Amino acid sequence: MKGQWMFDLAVALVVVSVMVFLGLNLLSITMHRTQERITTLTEYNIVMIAGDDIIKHGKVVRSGSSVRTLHHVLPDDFNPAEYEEKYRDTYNIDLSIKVCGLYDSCRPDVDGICITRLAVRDTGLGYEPVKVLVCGRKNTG
Amino acid sequence: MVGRIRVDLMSKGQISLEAVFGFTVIVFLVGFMILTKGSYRLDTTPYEYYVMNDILEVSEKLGYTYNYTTPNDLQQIVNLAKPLGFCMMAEDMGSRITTDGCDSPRDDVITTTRVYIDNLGQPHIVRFWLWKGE
Repeated sequence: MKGQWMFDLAVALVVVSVMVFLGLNLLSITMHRTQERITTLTEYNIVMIAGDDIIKHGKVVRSGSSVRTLHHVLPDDFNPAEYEEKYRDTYNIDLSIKVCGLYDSCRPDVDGICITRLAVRDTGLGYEPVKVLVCGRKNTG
Repeated sequence: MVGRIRVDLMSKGQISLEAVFGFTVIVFLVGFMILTKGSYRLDTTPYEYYVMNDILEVSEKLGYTYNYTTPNDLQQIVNLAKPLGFCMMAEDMGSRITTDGCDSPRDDVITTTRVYIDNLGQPHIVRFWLWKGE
């Protein structure tokens, strides 16, 4: 009878150990997944904000005393590096912004979450549609 | 009773401790499998609305909707979706035009409506659908 009691205790201890092990693993995975989701969502939101920032900033047109912004029209002096620097300093995100022709393939410098927005460029003779590829990844360096 | 440890968990009956342990282990295992297998999917609906708005805004800038005449202008508008990896469909007065190379809309589509004025001054209520390309 004493042997049986010890065997039961050993079995119970093994079961409890397995449960504790699984529980800790579950907790660790849950926390890791949550962190991953938060990072992905943050990157996605910031890339979206950056894309919208570029499109909404648009081209400023002055006629007489009135000034208006043509959104979806890239400014003549559009410089992606300005946005990349701004978002690196403000949000700690590495951005890669590329402006390509509508049927050209854009290659980002950053391997992260990417979105493509559509805009136009003023060629002087008229508007030409362009793709604005915005990719971003949290700066872990 | 050694070996048959019983814990009174419910007033109606008794459940053995082994059963409780066994059940808990199964719950942990199932949870473990779900968590390790499941992948996180972002909701890209807001982005799709942005893309649709971009296409419609750019088509205005390119003059496709100025003195709007259907259906050629609509074909040019919906074809702007293709290079972005999307498909689009437009409907004006019952006639439907889809991006070249795309089939009919899938279930996960987003829609919007615009009013365009044709060269006779008549308003056209045009409905658009956008979905991720095949």
